[in-house]
This record gives sequence, C-alpha cells and structure tokens, in this order.
Amino acid sequence: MPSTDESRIAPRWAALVEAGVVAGLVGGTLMALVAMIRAAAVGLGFWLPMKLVSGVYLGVDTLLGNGGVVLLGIVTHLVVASFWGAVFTLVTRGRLRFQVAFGTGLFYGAGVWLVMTYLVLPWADRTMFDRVNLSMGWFFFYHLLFGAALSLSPAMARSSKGSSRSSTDHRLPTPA
Amino acid sequence: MSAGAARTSALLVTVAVATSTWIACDVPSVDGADEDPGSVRPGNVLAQMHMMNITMIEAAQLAEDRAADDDVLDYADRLQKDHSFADGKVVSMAHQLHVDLDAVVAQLRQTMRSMDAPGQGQREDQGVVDQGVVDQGEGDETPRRDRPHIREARGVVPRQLADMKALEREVENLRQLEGPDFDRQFVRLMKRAHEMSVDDLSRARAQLRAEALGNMLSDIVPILEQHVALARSLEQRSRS
Repeated sequence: MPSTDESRIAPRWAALVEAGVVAGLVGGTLMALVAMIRAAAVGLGFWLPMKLVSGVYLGVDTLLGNGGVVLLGIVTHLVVASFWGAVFTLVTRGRLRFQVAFGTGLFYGAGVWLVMTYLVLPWADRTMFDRVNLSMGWFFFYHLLFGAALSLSPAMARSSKGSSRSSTDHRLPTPA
Repeated sequence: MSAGAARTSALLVTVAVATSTWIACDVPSVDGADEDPGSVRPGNVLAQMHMMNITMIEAAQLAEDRAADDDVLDYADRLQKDHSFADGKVVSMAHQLHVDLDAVVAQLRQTMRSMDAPGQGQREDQGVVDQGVVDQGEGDETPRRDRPHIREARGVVPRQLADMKALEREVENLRQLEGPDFDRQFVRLMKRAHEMSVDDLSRARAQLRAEALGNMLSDIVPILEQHVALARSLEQRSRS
C-alpha cells in the first residue's frame, strides 16, 4: 500500500501535467487559428502556417503539400503546444492566482518565442524560420496569445480530481 | 554684446549646425547626398523587384490555366501568393523611402524599349549605366538629371534590364504551350528567373545604405531561394 506522501505527490504531478496539456492545447489552438486567419487575410493562404510546421519533416516541399501535410502540421503544433503547456504548469506548480498567472504566462510565451525562434527553428525547420522573419512581430504576438491562454492552467490544476487537497481528502478514513 | 553672450551664441550656432548635419546624414533619403555612381539606388532596386513580382504573378496565373501537373499548380499558387505579398512590402517600402515607384518603373520600361537585347545568357560584370535614360518628364522645370525618377533609374545595369526583357518575352511565349510542355518550360523558367533575382538582390543587399531596404531584402531573398529549391524539386520529380 503506497505511503500517504506518495499518494499525495503522484496524483498532484499528474494533475499538473494534465492541466498543462489541456491549457497548452487551448493556447496552441488559439495561436494556430489567429495565425491562419492572419495568413488568409494577407493573401498567403489559410493553411500556410500549418504547412510550415510540417517543414520539420518535409523541408521546403512542405509548401507544395496537401491535406495530409496540413494535418501533420496541426498534430505537430498541438503536441509541441501541449509540451510547453505542461512545462509551464509544472514550473508554476498550479499555485498562481489568475492575474499573476496571466502576467507570468505572457512572459513565458515570450520565452517560448525566443527559444523556438532562435534555438529550435533554425535547425529544425529552416523553411518556417525563413518565413517567420517576414512577420516576426506577428509571430511574437501569437506566442503572447499562447502564454495568455496558459494562465488557465493553475485554476484547472487546482480544480482537477488529482489535486493534492482532494486526494488527501479522499484518503482520510471515514469515521465509523 | 558681452563676450559671454557671444561665446554662448557661437556655441548654440555650432550645436545647431552639427545637429542639422547629423540629422541630414542620418535620414535615409533616396534623393540624398550619395552621388557615388557605383552605388545601388534603393529606387531602382524597388522598381526592379516590383517588375519582377508582376511578371512572376502573371506567369503563375498562366500556369493556373495551362498546367497539367498538380504539383506545378501548387507551385504556381504558392508563387502567386508569395509574390503578391512581397509586392505589398515593396510598395510599402517605396512609400516609406519616398520613391515614386510608378515613375521609376516607367523610366526603366522606357529604357528597356530603347535597348537592343544583348547576347542571351551572357552575364556582364556589374557596372553602372548613366546614359540611355530617356527623359519622359513633361513641363517639369527641374533639370532632367535632377528629377527624382531619373536619378533613381540611374545605376541600373544594362544586363539586368536585358534579363528582365528576356524574362517577360519568355513568359509571353508560355502562352503558346499547354500540358506537360507548359509544366516543363514553366518550372525551368521560374528556376532561372528566381536564381537571377536571388543573385541581383543579394548583391544589392550588400551595397545598400538605406538600412530598412537592406533588412527587407534579407527577409525576401530566402523566400526566393525557397522558390528556386521548389523548382529544382519539381524538375527532379519530373525526371524520375
């Protein structure tokens, strides 16, 4: 039988990861939608942002891609967004109030932008990196949106069934 | 006037003159102090980019009607979108640098019409043309050489204008083709045109003093390189 400490810790981390993943998916979806709407508005094509994400696998040929390429891009983008969301929630441990979480999320989004733009994209997806330079201000804005959406994760983590408070409550023996 | 007041006045005048000189040197101006005939002028770079964008868009629109291969259609669609977007940037930059783009383009077209096409495929060393710019101004009392669009059109290498003329002619010739013949010729032409453009703009980027335009070229050249890479990929696919 697991110790009380272990049973309190394990679900807690799981709840944080779960909340972070969900917040990351929300943020990633919001970010992708805004990017695609903007791409359509300036005449570059609604699906271009997601095609560019697939450049990780296909290189410059991603620009000739069809529905499969777009789907691959969407899945990749959401997986990466979930990862960053989970990292945020694990780092903040779900303890921030909304206002603080919002501000922290914005800074975090800026940090993700910095890492992705200058450390990841140049070697992982040169096709996307070259194009992002044309609209760097917008690319930065998308990441701020993402960070703002992550501010939902602390509340999600606290209200989830796996939180430390609720798990402890469940483990208290019921008096006879 | 006391000695102290005179010193103060002299100091103020000196500061004012120095500040004015600094501001005048710092503001990017296409009419500016740069009279070095070897320098690339922002106006003619923008005008050539504008002409290239229009030609690429026109060729891409032809492909939509005549191409047989889906990949070539996707390529043409990509070209059309990218060059339309890039042209927006060019026009915006021209506005920012106070370049009368239409006038400079008109000047270049006038020069192209008066040229005899040189030998095909021969790339001359970079040089400067100061003659052959035909004045179109009507009723303008400014000396011809000082008119902005004339100054901007100077410094254009005749090889560049000849290449542009040849490219436009080849795009016209595409209208005679259809199906796989069109696809082959279209892809080959786009590859060559973009390689030429990358070359010219990379050289211009190295020489430009108006920093905003240099930065824009740094952003646009990689996109043109992507177009070259796509064309090569399509050629490889058609061979296999």
